[in-house]
Amino acid sequence: MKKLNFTGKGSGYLAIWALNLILTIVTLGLYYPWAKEKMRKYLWNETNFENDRFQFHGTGKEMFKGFIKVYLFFVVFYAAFFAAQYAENPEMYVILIVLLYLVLLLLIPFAIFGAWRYRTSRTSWRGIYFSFDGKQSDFVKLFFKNLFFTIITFGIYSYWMQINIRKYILNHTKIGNYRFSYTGDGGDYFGINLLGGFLSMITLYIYIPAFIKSLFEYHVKNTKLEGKSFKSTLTNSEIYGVLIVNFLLIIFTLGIAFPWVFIRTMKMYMNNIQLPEDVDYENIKQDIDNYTDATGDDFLDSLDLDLDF
Amino acid sequence: MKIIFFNGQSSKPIPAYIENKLGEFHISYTDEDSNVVFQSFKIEDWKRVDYNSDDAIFTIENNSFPPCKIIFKEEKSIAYIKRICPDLINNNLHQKILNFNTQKVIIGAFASLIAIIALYIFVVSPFIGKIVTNMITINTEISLGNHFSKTLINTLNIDDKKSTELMQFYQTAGFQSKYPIEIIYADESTVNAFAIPGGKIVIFKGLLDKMERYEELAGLIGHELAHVEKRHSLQQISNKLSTYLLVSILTNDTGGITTALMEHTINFRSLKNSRSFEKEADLWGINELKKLHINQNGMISLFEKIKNNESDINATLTKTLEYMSSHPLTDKRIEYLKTSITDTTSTQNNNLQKIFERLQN
Repeated sequence: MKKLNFTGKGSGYLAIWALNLILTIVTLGLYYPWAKEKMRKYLWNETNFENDRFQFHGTGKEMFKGFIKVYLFFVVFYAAFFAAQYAENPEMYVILIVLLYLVLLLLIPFAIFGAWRYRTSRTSWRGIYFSFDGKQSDFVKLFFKNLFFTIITFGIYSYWMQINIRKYILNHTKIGNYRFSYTGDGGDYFGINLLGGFLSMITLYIYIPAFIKSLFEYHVKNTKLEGKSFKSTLTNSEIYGVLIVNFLLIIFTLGIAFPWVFIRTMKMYMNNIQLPEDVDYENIKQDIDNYTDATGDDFLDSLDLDLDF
Repeated sequence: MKIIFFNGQSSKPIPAYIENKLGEFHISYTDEDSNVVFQSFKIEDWKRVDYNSDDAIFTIENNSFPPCKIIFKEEKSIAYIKRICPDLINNNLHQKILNFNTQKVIIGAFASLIAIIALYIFVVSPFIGKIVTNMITINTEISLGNHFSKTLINTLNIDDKKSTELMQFYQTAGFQSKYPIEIIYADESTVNAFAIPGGKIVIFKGLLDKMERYEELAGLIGHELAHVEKRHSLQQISNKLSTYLLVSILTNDTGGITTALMEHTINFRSLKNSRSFEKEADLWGINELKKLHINQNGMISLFEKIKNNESDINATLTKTLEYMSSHPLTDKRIEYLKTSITDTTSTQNNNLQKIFERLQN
């Protein structure tokens, strides 16, 4: 079976996380982009397929360019906020808060697009780079169109929105010359969530791990590489086992066991993703043109906000 | 030495051989057409790209694009590459730690974290809290307090008539403040009182009912007034926010930053002042009594009544957990207050006595 294999360890994750935290605190947050670099390098490198490890090529220096702009933006914002306090101008507070939320909302699609483009362009397997050939303007239009429908349907359309965004992102993602795709449907996804939510409520939330598993399975089976489907091998007993033990670990260690909990969860998901058997993994060609396009020094690419879609 | 070579053009792993000659890697392999291919690379163009705790594989990449990749999987070949290119071995701090003994890593990591967190909580956060507090003007503080109290007052059963009596007591005693003080009587059995930033003080019926002398009420008002004058509540909020905001910035949690800024309803009943703030309020309060020629022993007898209110069981538990309590134990408070009494000029104030009696009815 052609499966992903995650070999990370709780102690390794803790080591990187703790060192990152110390360095980030003593540099008042400025080390953060390098902390992200180190953590991603570790997590990517502990993931392998066909005994060959993934690699993250991003650098703290690249991500710092975007990060410092955000850092300064918030410093300026806070300064304006305190200036408003000093001037005793309550209207200015309100304007500043509203402005902040508006700016953040407008940034979201750019940040998702940029983050994905950056991450794929800095990820390789066997020396072959991933890439993302979506168009920013198309994605932004898609995002706001879906957001509009989500708002006017009081959130019901959000399930279609999630699927549409995921579809756009994956349909434009490649590894070398092999293309990914996503064939999920908003209606089906809504149905799974509705059923899962209902069953979770009537079983007093005991059903939740099974609900999570059904969502994971749905996304995995609708993800394709060169038109061939991925498959999930995650079982109910496995997810219940892992999540219940995780919960107990966190409770009885007052949260100290979080690195092991994180690694256990990563292993559970990664090691249950089976890649299509009938794809020729030894014949993926480097897609040089696409790579060059993706490495532009875009502010929001190197910003790489940790937003999930 | 045997290696696995990736030429950067395809994902096909190529079994190959490597040799080091005059500062260059010489790689040879057989291609699909069974031709023997030779490639040379400058050693200085290569770097190790492993980032894990597994030493059983050694991977290097060069700096061309697309990069070529070499994997050393056999023990002999790993030893070979480490010998001929010691510079390629990763010596960065993160990699060194990944190679450490697991137990040492865990102990070291947790010890460092605890030290940093302790330093932040006891040194940095109060310092930042003070700076933030000083930046907030009195008028802003009053506006904030008014805003908070609107939400809070709705949860209390206020007796307006007795609140007026309390205000009269405050003014008759001669207390003064740069804040617009308003004292509110909460008709509830809770034995408690607290101050809100900006000048509002809430006193519960439960606590007033315990009092037998007007000097005790004066002592209580002096104590709560100290919290207002010294901006203790504001500093507590700033301390908490500074921790929250810093963690948000450090973890790039933009949602956390905006949430912290938007959060404006805080439950003052559960907001505990630090032990040092309580002590400062006790001593400031007892000094105020002296200035107003009110018997300072009033504050001591107030605490003695509070102490008697605690059951024996609670007192034992409280002693055991004293170091975790934000309030110094009542016994200790009585102790340092007794040593602070210097009053010899207090006089009986009949007006205050009358107001106090009305409050008790």
